[in-house]
Amino acid sequence: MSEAISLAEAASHRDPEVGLAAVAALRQMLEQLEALQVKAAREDGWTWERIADALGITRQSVHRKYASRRFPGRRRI
Amino acid sequence: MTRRAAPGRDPIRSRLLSAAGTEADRARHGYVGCEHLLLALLTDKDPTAREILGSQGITLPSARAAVADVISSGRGDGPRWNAADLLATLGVDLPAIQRQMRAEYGPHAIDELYRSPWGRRLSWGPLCGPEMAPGLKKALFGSESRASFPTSGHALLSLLDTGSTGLAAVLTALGSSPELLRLAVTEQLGCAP
Repeated sequence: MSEAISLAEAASHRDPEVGLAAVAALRQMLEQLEALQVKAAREDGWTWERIADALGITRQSVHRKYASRRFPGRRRI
Repeated sequence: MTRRAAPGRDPIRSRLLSAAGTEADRARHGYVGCEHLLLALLTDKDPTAREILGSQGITLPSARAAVADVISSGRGDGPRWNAADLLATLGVDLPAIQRQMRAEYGPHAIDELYRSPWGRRLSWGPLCGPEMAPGLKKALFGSESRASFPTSGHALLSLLDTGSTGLAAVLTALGSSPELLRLAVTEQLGCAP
Protein backbone atom coordinates (compact mmCIF):
# COMPACT_ATOMS: atom_id res chain seq x y z
CA MET A 1 0.00 0.00 0.00
CA SER A 2 1.26 3.47 -0.82
CA GLU A 3 2.54 5.50 2.11
CA ALA A 4 1.76 8.70 0.27
CA ILE A 5 -0.66 11.05 1.98
CA SER A 6 -1.86 14.15 0.19
CA LEU A 7 -1.18 17.51 1.74
CA ALA A 8 -4.93 18.20 1.90
CA GLU A 9 -5.50 14.98 3.83
CA ALA A 10 -2.65 15.71 6.22
CA ALA A 11 -3.78 19.29 6.74
CA SER A 12 -7.35 18.20 7.35
CA HIS A 13 -6.08 15.97 10.16
CA ARG A 14 -4.09 18.83 11.67
CA ASP A 15 -0.84 16.98 11.08
CA PRO A 16 1.88 18.90 12.96
CA GLU A 17 4.35 18.07 10.18
CA VAL A 18 2.23 20.11 7.78
CA GLY A 19 1.57 22.90 10.25
CA LEU A 20 5.23 23.33 11.17
CA ALA A 21 6.41 23.10 7.55
CA ALA A 22 3.81 25.71 6.57
CA VAL A 23 4.99 28.08 9.31
CA ALA A 24 8.61 27.56 8.23
CA ALA A 25 7.67 28.39 4.63
CA LEU A 26 5.81 31.49 5.81
CA ARG A 27 8.81 32.65 7.87
CA GLN A 28 11.17 32.14 4.91
CA MET A 29 8.84 34.09 2.65
CA LEU A 30 8.54 36.94 5.15
CA GLU A 31 12.35 37.16 5.33
CA GLN A 32 12.45 37.46 1.56
CA LEU A 33 9.71 40.08 1.46
CA GLU A 34 11.36 42.08 4.22
CA ALA A 35 14.72 42.05 2.40
CA LEU A 36 12.98 43.12 -0.80
CA GLN A 37 11.29 46.03 0.95
CA VAL A 38 14.46 47.09 2.79
CA LYS A 39 16.37 47.08 -0.50
CA ALA A 40 13.65 49.17 -2.15
CA ALA A 41 13.54 51.60 0.77
CA ARG A 42 17.31 52.11 0.80
CA GLU A 43 17.31 52.62 -2.97
CA ASP A 44 14.62 55.27 -2.41
CA GLY A 45 16.88 57.01 0.11
CA TRP A 46 15.25 55.94 3.35
CA THR A 47 17.40 56.15 6.46
CA TRP A 48 17.96 53.10 8.63
CA GLU A 49 16.04 54.84 11.41
CA ARG A 50 12.99 55.29 9.23
CA ILE A 51 13.16 51.67 8.03
CA ALA A 52 13.49 50.47 11.62
CA ASP A 53 10.46 52.51 12.66
CA ALA A 54 8.40 51.11 9.80
CA LEU A 55 9.42 47.54 10.68
CA GLY A 56 8.72 48.13 14.36
CA ILE A 57 12.23 47.16 15.44
CA THR A 58 15.23 49.08 16.75
CA ARG A 59 17.69 50.81 14.49
CA GLN A 60 20.42 48.54 15.88
CA SER A 61 18.43 45.46 14.90
CA VAL A 62 17.87 46.54 11.34
CA HIS A 63 21.52 47.56 11.06
CA ARG A 64 22.73 44.26 12.43
CA LYS A 65 20.60 42.42 9.97
CA TYR A 66 21.18 44.45 6.82
CA ALA A 67 23.75 47.19 7.03
CA SER A 68 26.79 44.94 7.37
CA ARG A 69 25.77 43.28 4.12
CA ARG A 70 26.82 46.33 2.26
CA PHE A 71 30.18 46.52 3.94
CA PRO A 72 31.32 42.97 4.68
CA GLY A 73 33.73 42.79 7.61
CA ARG A 74 33.06 46.36 8.68
CA ARG A 75 30.83 47.17 11.63
CA ARG A 76 29.20 50.52 11.64
CA ILE A 77 26.11 52.12 13.08
CA MET B 1 14.19 31.46 -9.89
CA THR B 2 17.01 31.05 -9.78
CA ARG B 3 19.59 29.42 -7.60
CA ARG B 4 20.35 26.80 -10.15
CA ALA B 5 23.94 26.50 -11.29
CA ALA B 6 24.68 27.54 -14.84
CA PRO B 7 24.45 24.56 -17.14
CA GLY B 8 27.52 25.61 -19.08
CA ARG B 9 27.96 24.63 -22.70
CA ASP B 10 27.28 20.93 -22.37
CA PRO B 11 24.04 20.37 -24.30
CA ILE B 12 23.14 17.15 -22.47
CA ARG B 13 23.69 18.73 -19.04
CA SER B 14 21.72 21.78 -20.08
CA ARG B 15 18.81 19.73 -21.43
CA LEU B 16 18.74 17.49 -18.37
CA LEU B 17 18.73 20.40 -15.94
CA SER B 18 15.85 22.01 -17.78
CA ALA B 19 13.89 18.76 -18.08
CA ALA B 20 14.41 17.91 -14.40
CA GLY B 21 12.96 21.33 -13.48
CA THR B 22 10.03 20.72 -15.80
CA GLU B 23 9.35 17.34 -14.19
CA ALA B 24 9.43 18.90 -10.70
CA ASP B 25 7.08 21.71 -11.80
CA ARG B 26 4.76 19.25 -13.50
CA ALA B 27 4.40 17.22 -10.30
CA ARG B 28 4.27 20.36 -8.10
CA HIS B 29 7.24 19.17 -6.06
CA GLY B 30 9.05 21.56 -3.73
CA TYR B 31 12.55 20.82 -5.02
CA VAL B 32 14.40 19.58 -8.07
CA GLY B 33 16.41 16.49 -7.17
CA CYS B 34 18.02 13.29 -8.36
CA GLU B 35 14.57 11.74 -8.64
CA HIS B 36 13.65 14.33 -11.28
CA LEU B 37 16.95 13.85 -13.08
CA LEU B 38 16.04 10.19 -13.50
CA LEU B 39 12.80 11.30 -15.17
CA ALA B 40 14.71 13.78 -17.30
CA LEU B 41 16.96 10.97 -18.55
CA LEU B 42 13.85 9.07 -19.62
CA THR B 43 12.65 12.03 -21.69
CA ASP B 44 15.96 13.05 -23.25
CA LYS B 45 16.41 12.85 -27.00
CA ASP B 46 19.67 10.91 -26.53
CA PRO B 47 18.27 7.39 -26.08
CA THR B 48 21.30 5.85 -24.29
CA ALA B 49 20.04 6.21 -20.70
CA ARG B 50 16.43 5.53 -21.69
CA GLU B 51 17.43 2.25 -23.33
CA ILE B 52 19.48 1.16 -20.31
CA LEU B 53 16.62 2.01 -17.97
CA GLY B 54 14.18 0.28 -20.32
CA SER B 55 16.29 -2.88 -20.16
CA GLN B 56 15.62 -2.83 -16.40
CA GLY B 57 11.89 -2.45 -16.98
CA ILE B 58 11.90 1.24 -16.07
CA THR B 59 9.63 3.42 -18.19
CA LEU B 60 8.65 7.08 -17.92
CA PRO B 61 5.11 6.42 -16.57
CA SER B 62 6.31 3.87 -14.01
CA ALA B 63 9.17 6.13 -12.92
CA ARG B 64 6.89 9.18 -12.58
CA ALA B 65 4.52 7.18 -10.40
CA ALA B 66 7.40 5.90 -8.23
CA VAL B 67 8.90 9.39 -7.85
CA ALA B 68 5.52 10.82 -6.86
CA ASP B 69 5.03 8.09 -4.27
CA VAL B 70 8.53 8.39 -2.80
CA ILE B 71 8.41 12.18 -2.47
CA SER B 72 4.87 12.39 -1.13
CA SER B 73 5.71 9.78 1.50
CA GLY B 74 8.67 11.81 2.73
CA ARG B 75 11.39 9.49 1.41
CA GLY B 76 12.73 11.89 -1.21
CA ASP B 77 15.88 14.02 -1.07
CA GLY B 78 13.95 17.22 -0.34
CA PRO B 79 10.81 18.58 1.28
CA ARG B 80 7.71 16.45 1.09
CA TRP B 81 5.43 19.28 0.03
CA ASN B 82 5.89 22.38 -2.04
CA ALA B 83 5.82 25.85 -0.51
CA ALA B 84 2.74 27.07 -2.41
CA ASP B 85 0.61 24.17 -1.14
CA LEU B 86 1.95 24.54 2.40
CA LEU B 87 1.23 28.27 2.45
CA ALA B 88 -2.23 27.62 1.05
CA THR B 89 -3.04 25.63 4.20
CA LEU B 90 -2.54 28.93 6.07
CA GLY B 91 -4.68 30.82 3.58
CA VAL B 92 -1.65 32.45 1.96
CA ASP B 93 -1.74 32.66 -1.85
CA LEU B 94 1.91 32.40 -2.93
CA PRO B 95 1.25 32.74 -6.68
CA ALA B 96 -0.72 35.94 -6.01
CA ILE B 97 2.15 37.34 -3.92
CA GLN B 98 4.62 36.43 -6.66
CA ARG B 99 2.46 38.14 -9.28
CA GLN B 100 2.15 41.26 -7.14
CA MET B 101 5.89 41.31 -6.48
CA ARG B 102 6.72 41.02 -10.18
CA ALA B 103 4.22 43.74 -11.02
CA GLU B 104 5.71 46.14 -8.48
CA TYR B 105 9.41 45.32 -8.67
CA GLY B 106 9.86 43.71 -12.07
CA PRO B 107 10.10 40.13 -13.33
CA HIS B 108 13.63 39.59 -12.02
CA ALA B 109 13.19 41.20 -8.60
CA ILE B 110 14.12 38.07 -6.65
CA ASP B 111 17.18 37.31 -8.78
CA GLU B 112 18.29 40.92 -8.33
CA LEU B 113 17.68 40.74 -4.58
CA TYR B 114 19.88 37.66 -4.19
CA ARG B 115 22.62 39.26 -6.26
CA SER B 116 22.49 42.45 -4.20
CA PRO B 117 24.22 43.09 -0.85
CA TRP B 118 20.81 42.76 0.83
CA GLY B 119 20.33 39.23 -0.39
CA ARG B 120 23.77 37.71 0.02
CA ARG B 121 23.01 36.12 3.37
CA LEU B 122 19.37 35.51 2.65
CA SER B 123 18.60 31.80 2.57
CA TRP B 124 16.35 30.12 0.05
CA GLY B 125 12.63 30.92 0.36
CA PRO B 126 9.32 30.25 -1.37
CA LEU B 127 9.61 33.28 -3.67
CA CYS B 128 12.60 31.60 -5.34
CA GLY B 129 10.65 28.61 -6.62
CA PRO B 130 11.81 25.01 -6.21
CA GLU B 131 15.32 24.64 -4.80
CA MET B 132 17.92 22.45 -6.48
CA ALA B 133 18.82 19.56 -4.15
CA PRO B 134 22.52 18.97 -3.38
CA GLY B 135 22.42 15.53 -5.03
CA LEU B 136 21.31 17.05 -8.33
CA LYS B 137 24.10 19.63 -8.19
CA LYS B 138 26.57 16.82 -7.50
CA ALA B 139 25.28 14.75 -10.40
CA LEU B 140 25.38 17.58 -12.91
CA PHE B 141 28.11 19.87 -11.58
CA GLY B 142 30.17 17.75 -9.17
CA SER B 143 33.92 17.44 -9.42
CA GLU B 144 33.67 14.21 -11.38
CA SER B 145 31.14 15.53 -13.83
CA ARG B 146 32.67 18.81 -14.95
CA ALA B 147 33.53 17.43 -18.36
CA SER B 148 30.76 17.19 -20.92
CA PHE B 149 28.64 14.05 -20.83
CA PRO B 150 29.36 12.16 -24.08
CA THR B 151 25.97 10.45 -23.80
CA SER B 152 23.00 10.48 -21.46
CA GLY B 153 24.29 7.12 -20.19
CA HIS B 154 27.28 8.93 -18.70
CA ALA B 155 24.90 11.35 -16.98
CA LEU B 156 23.03 8.35 -15.60
CA LEU B 157 26.30 7.00 -14.21
CA SER B 158 27.01 10.36 -12.58
CA LEU B 159 23.49 10.29 -11.09
CA LEU B 160 24.13 6.84 -9.60
CA ASP B 161 27.38 8.11 -8.07
CA THR B 162 25.53 10.66 -5.93
CA GLY B 163 24.38 8.12 -3.36
CA SER B 164 20.95 9.76 -3.32
CA THR B 165 18.60 8.02 -0.90
CA GLY B 166 15.58 9.36 -2.77
CA LEU B 167 16.85 7.86 -6.01
CA ALA B 168 17.56 4.55 -4.29
CA ALA B 169 13.99 4.49 -2.95
CA VAL B 170 12.61 5.18 -6.43
CA LEU B 171 14.74 2.45 -8.02
CA THR B 172 13.73 -0.02 -5.31
CA ALA B 173 10.08 0.79 -5.93
CA LEU B 174 10.74 0.05 -9.60
CA GLY B 175 12.23 -3.36 -8.81
CA SER B 176 15.83 -2.28 -9.39
CA SER B 177 18.60 -0.74 -7.30
CA PRO B 178 21.53 1.65 -7.82
CA GLU B 179 23.91 -1.34 -7.85
CA LEU B 180 21.96 -3.28 -10.48
CA LEU B 181 21.58 -0.22 -12.61
CA ARG B 182 25.25 0.65 -12.32
CA LEU B 183 26.16 -2.79 -13.64
CA ALA B 184 23.82 -2.32 -16.59
CA VAL B 185 25.22 1.14 -17.34
CA THR B 186 28.87 0.15 -17.14
CA GLU B 187 28.20 -2.87 -19.33
CA GLN B 188 26.44 -0.75 -21.91
CA LEU B 189 29.05 2.00 -21.85
CA GLY B 190 31.94 -0.45 -21.74
CA CYS B 191 33.57 1.10 -18.68
CA ALA B 192 34.64 -0.27 -15.29
CA PRO B 193 31.85 -0.57 -12.67
